[in-house]
Amino acid sequence: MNPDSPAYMAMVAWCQNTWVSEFLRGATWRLASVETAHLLGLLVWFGTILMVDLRLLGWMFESQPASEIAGGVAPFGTAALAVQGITGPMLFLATAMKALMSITFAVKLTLLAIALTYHFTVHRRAVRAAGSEARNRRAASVSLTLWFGVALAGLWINA
Amino acid sequence: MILAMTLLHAAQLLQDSALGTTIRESNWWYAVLNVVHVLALMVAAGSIMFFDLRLLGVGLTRTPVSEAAARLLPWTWRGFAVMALTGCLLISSEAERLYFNTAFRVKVVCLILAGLNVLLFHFTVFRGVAQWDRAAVTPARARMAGAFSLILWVSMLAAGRMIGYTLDT
Repeated sequence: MNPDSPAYMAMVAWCQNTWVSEFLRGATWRLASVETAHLLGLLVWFGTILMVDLRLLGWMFESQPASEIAGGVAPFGTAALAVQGITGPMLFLATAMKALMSITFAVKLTLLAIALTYHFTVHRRAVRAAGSEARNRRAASVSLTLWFGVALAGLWINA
Repeated sequence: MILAMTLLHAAQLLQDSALGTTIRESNWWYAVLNVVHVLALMVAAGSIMFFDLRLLGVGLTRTPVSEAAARLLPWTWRGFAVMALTGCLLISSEAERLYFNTAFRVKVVCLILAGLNVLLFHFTVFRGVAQWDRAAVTPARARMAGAFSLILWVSMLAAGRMIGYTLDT
């Protein structure tokens, strides 16, 4: 959609002024709490990525298969994704105008889409089927790079 | 009282130093340090969190505690080293304002408590880890250390986030 078109401006204005947006902007502690929750969700999600990818790289827990490590951390990963799925859109609505004008936000969402797709396809196959060491290392390296990229772009929005 | 005044004076000197001034006056440096500080937090917290969860018996329960410690905690220290460096540089840019900031004080107290928790754990219950290495349910003191660690890290995170909101006003 053309950013200058009235329809686009109307959409931005609508996102910026939902009741969630206004509620969150109503008090500093509300926005700060949601941001803290979003950061906490990132830490837990990245922690699960770190556990599995360091195992795929062969840097730790060699006595256990990667699938066992992945299974063990999966509930935390799912919980973290759920928290991000709720707090992310909330933060977007609170700062929609800023987000939609920012290239960094677009970069973050693009990287996020790529990272999630990679995670649930290539990365998941590497975890489940004991493939070659080279393939595992590649999957882990790409995964860590993508998630670091998502975090970096996300942090840069507010930096 | 004398200590507090010395600390405040040190904070003023730090803030007025060439290093502190450079970081404060360059938006770019400040932003980069801030982002690197949190990226390092991801590694430090991501690793210690799963060690704490192992101590609590809710994660990685099939991994021996000593192995989890040997493999995870080095990553915590690597992340922490970067956090300490970037944290000190960030402090230097606004030391005097931080001195009076409540959120910053809470964060420092939590950091000290977390340090004490680590020391206490390593010099007491962790010494006998051989006896409960493979146990899914660890001794009460080990579980307490894990719980305190998680609570203190979350508190530091929340306090750190609040600094950004309370410093500018």
